[in-house]
Amino acid sequence: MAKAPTVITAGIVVSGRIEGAEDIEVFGAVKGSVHLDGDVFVDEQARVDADLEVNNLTVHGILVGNVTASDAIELASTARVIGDLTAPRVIVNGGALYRGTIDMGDIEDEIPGESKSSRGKSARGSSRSSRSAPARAARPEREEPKAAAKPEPKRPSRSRKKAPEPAPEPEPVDDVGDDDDEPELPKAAAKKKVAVKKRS
Amino acid sequence: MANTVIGNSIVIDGEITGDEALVVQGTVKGRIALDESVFVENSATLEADVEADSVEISGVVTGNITAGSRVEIKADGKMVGDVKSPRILIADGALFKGNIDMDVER
Repeated sequence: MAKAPTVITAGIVVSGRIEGAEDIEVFGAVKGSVHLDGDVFVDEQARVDADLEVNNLTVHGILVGNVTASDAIELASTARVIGDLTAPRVIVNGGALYRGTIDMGDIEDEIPGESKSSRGKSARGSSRSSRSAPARAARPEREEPKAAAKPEPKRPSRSRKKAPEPAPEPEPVDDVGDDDDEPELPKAAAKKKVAVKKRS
Repeated sequence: MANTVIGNSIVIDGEITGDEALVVQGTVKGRIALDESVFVENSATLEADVEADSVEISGVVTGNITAGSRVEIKADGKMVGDVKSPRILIADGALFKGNIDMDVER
């Protein structure tokens, strides 16, 4: 694993505002906000309840909060995430649980026959409303940006980043994501405690 | 796994709690409460009250420290604040201003 200068280990809770210009690896807990000119890695055992503003974000664990990344956001197969994601590249791996709105910017240019003015408003409107709707409503949402982004080269992002681990073998998306876990997320969201029991 | 490290360029405004050792190279404002050691390195600035088992200071600390076992201010350490700990070491060259309480009431 590439040694990040800043590491928050499993027994540590940092609450408040974190700023800086380097990479952070989180194995413990972070609450509050993170404004970073660098990359953030969230381990499978880690829990982040914070709004993030970073270059790259890789989530293997639990994240509740809104994320703005200047480069890419990747949700690994073990990720459980609630919040809005804004980044030019958003990668959701099979098995990841997610609810929220994804915004990859002005992708209308990439879609033939889609005018920015007409599309922009309706898309925004529908995605906002789906945010408060149950997870089922959010489901098509997560498919859409994925498909729309296809022309962009997604693969290189993986290698360009110093990915700390080889990508976990993605489990079949539909098996994992749908029946078992789906009811869990909204419930957990209501409590603001996402599946803490799973941590042990 | 290694310690928790707050790197050079990082500024944390808030609270750090936990039960593992902490190495600060950057800036922490607020509070640190650990059951373990805190290392304040050369490049570090602490504007925080610290509760820990032991504290080792090579950087700059403004705030009060309560340690369960020991506080050591190294030669390049600078500290303003009160220290409460059964063992306190201040090296030649260290700068310190504040009250020291080793809890001698025997």
